[in-house]
Amino acid sequence: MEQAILSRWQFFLLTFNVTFGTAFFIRPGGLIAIGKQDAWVLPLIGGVAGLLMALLWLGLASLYPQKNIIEICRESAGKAGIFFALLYIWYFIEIASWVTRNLGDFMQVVLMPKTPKSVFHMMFLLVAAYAVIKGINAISRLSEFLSPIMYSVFLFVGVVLIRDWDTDKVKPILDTEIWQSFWNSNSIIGFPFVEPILLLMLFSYAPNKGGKRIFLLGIGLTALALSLVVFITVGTIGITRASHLIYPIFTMIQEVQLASFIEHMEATIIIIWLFSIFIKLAIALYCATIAICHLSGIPNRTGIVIPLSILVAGLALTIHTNVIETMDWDKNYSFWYHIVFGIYIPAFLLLITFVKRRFKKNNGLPHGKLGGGIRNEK
Amino acid sequence: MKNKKGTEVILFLYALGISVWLSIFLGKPLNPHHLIEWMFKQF
Repeated sequence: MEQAILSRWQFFLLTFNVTFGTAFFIRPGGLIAIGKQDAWVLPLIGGVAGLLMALLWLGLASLYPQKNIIEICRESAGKAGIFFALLYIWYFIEIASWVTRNLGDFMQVVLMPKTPKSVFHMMFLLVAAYAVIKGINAISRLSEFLSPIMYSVFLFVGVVLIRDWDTDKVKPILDTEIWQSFWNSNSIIGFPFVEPILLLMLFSYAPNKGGKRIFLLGIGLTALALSLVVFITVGTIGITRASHLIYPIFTMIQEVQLASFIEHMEATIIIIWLFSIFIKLAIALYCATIAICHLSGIPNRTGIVIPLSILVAGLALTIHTNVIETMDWDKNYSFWYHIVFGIYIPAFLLLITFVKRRFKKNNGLPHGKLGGGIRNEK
Repeated sequence: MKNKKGTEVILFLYALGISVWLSIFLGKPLNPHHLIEWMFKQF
């Protein structure tokens, strides 16, 4: 398997891009429809839940230093672990398909309505597959190169939006049923806060020191950034418009006008969105590929990533038939489905590990310590 | 054949991918979420 060590900055960016990458564009509309002017609180509560889940994953990972989630499944649950490993492989493939579909939907709705979605899917998957073949170093360097450009442009647009800010639109603050709103929007726990479980495939490449803190920081900052995006959206275009738009951020930035000659800044946000989709897709595809490689003992990623891309391109078209079905899935099943991978399976594996260690003290399991990231510090 | 299991896995992935695409072309797209929703409804 690939030998690579990521720097702290690279690992942080991978975590942040996986968690924040597509959520900042898709989530605000739904959250504002449910949470109204207090919708900005919902990502913060979701972030706390995400951090608790991340602690669970880190607890599991620290018991198996230098192992990825597939190896952890097999070591902890033996032959039954293959079933859990297959479930995770399916989940990674599904995330890659969702991300690809997000791209297709956006391109067709906003930019090129006459072009079939599969064209966008295949073009992106072709480049993502190439990135996967080149390895995690190539993906993390790409993320390291693009992220500062993406987020500095994003900040600039945010500053420009201050002109259109209206404080009355976010008032009265904390006047709604926050917990009821949170329960109605519980799918935010699944997407985006369960998705960083992808990075359990990359823990063996994580930096020696502080890997755990960086992972938590990435998730925590995502919650803050998502909350800020929702807050700005409510204050700029208001609850009614924001909750009826598929991509409220796009519309908000489309209407920005600065000094009567800078307008239509949506091109910048399209570029940011495409970059972030590409990084997340490459990571999801990479994780699915190396998960299959680990389970089947195939050393070469190229043989896996090509058929996997064909599968992802197909699933991206079939996974949701239409927008109504997507909303129904998100409202009724998304939360329960995601927590199977985010809470139930990791908790079960942790329980099995503790029971095995309790009753078989000399079974040869490694004893890593919880602190200092994923790997034993030397 | 050096790695028989590996070849089988790769062929299986191709078969899976082609099946999904065939289902799209034949007008009956395979939607895995329908199966998941059915499983949730059983509880």
